[in-house]
Amino acid sequence: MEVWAITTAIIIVYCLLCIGIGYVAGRSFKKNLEDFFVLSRKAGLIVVFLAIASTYHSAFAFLTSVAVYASAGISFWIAAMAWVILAGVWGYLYGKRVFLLGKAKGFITPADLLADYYQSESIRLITALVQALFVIAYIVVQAIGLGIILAVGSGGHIPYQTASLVLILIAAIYVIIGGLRAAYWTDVLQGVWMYIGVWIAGLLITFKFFPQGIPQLMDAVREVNPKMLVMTWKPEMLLSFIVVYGAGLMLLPHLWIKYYAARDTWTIKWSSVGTVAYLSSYYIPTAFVGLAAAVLNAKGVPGVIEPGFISELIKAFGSRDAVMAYMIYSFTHPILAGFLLAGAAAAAMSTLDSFLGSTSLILTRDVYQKYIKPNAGERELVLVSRILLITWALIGWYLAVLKPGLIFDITAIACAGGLQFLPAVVQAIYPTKRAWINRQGALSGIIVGSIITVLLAKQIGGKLGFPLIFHPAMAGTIGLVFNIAVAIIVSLITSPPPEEKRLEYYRILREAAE
Amino acid sequence: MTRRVIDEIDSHLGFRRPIDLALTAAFVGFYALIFAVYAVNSAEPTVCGLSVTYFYSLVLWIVGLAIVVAAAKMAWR
Repeated sequence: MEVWAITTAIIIVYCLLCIGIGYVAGRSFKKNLEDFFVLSRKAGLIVVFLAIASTYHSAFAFLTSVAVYASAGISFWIAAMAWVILAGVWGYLYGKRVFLLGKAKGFITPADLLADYYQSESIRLITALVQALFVIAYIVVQAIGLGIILAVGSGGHIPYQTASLVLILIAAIYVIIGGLRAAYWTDVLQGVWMYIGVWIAGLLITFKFFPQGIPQLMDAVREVNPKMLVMTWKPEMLLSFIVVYGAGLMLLPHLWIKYYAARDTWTIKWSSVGTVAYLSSYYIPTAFVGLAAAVLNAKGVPGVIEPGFISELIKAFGSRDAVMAYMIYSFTHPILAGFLLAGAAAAAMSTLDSFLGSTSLILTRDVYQKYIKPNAGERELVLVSRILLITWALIGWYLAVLKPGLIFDITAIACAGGLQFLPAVVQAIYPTKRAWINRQGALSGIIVGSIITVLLAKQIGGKLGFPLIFHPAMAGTIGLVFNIAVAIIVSLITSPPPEEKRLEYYRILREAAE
Repeated sequence: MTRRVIDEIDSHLGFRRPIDLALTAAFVGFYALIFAVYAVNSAEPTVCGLSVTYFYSLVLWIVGLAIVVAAAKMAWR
């Protein structure tokens, strides 16, 4: 059996396993939205922890982290370590409050909470639409990753476009069969698989080329390019990355609804701790592979790998994201390569399934049910959500086929969009003596912040011909500054927010604390 | 109504326990130290050949994990 066939077969077995889990999850599905999307709010520690951790880490962590390490060196580690710790801490601080309010008031989507607090259906609609649109960037990222993984894993026998379509449809199928319950269950499998996989890949590849271990690798990097061992990103970029990937990502719907699903606050607390440890330690082995790739790319190994191999990968896939998959496929045993690449697919699919599920949820509940057919029954809503799920999957795949660039940059667009909900969310879940943001302020802030983010992001504003463009993370941070300013100014010149709602939220949170 | 909201919320504002204040200060200090990386930015080798910057960030990572665990054990409910 040829190498590519072995590797591909193992990836297919992994996919069948996911579909099988989706089928089993579907059999215990109660055919209502609350069970379909938030597991009837009964998820325990293992499920919530691995669902949050594996959903947070995607093709971004498995593929692009290696790609960025290979070009920017340890700057990525310093920023990533800081942003995942912020993600865990912020995940607890806001996740606990979102959980308590969601349980008390039956919220399922992020827009449920914001619309209720601000007493505004406009905020519901804007939240649903803005989140659904920004999320497309994240779906594209996973589609790119899946395309790379199967195309490389099949030794090029399955073209990138087909590979992406096949794996994205598999993720869609198991979410359709089993709802987000399937996504939660597969997240557990995927979370374990991708973590073991990344460590095995990191250690094997590093010690294959640098048998004396880390000191030898560091010396080689120092010889090739010592700047890779220092922080080269400017402070404002570091700040933007921490804010956008730490706080913004956690506010996207796929992670938000995980907190609704939790059984209790103890579960959220310890899953937050586990998330910090899991997410941050994940970036250690990818650093080894990325730095090793940089050395190999500069020097090559006669008869094994040519200098400049990363340039060839960029020509084939439109970015250097394929470095990790290429190194696994080329330098590990075929059976192990299949296992490890399935781990990479797990990383992408565990995020993709949640995005597809959560996006179809918010469009079904916050748009279809509220504005198109308010009398629709639960079964009809589930059917509509499935159609939307497939539609969003295909949109993501189509954009991925265009090879839009580095996963690291595209991900930042989605996270920057999530960040624009920060002021409105903080005001809602931290009911303080003075309410700084009212309905009009929240709405204005979200709209202005989102527009500024889109215009300033080089991938979008650049194509629109906007004269001032930045990395999307920087664009999102600038958008947030304008967002906060507009939200507060508009709130000051319009009527004050409803006191009753603030008191209601305060009491729910206080009673839980007591 | 307005008076009642303000009074009730006001009575529970602020850091109610010293540990909350201490952990908040620890988190702020941690992120300040992240940005202090520019002050120790050097590729010179230290332990296991790691650069000064890399070693500093790994130590900081351990500190960050310790703060999170301490927060969960002592303050988070």
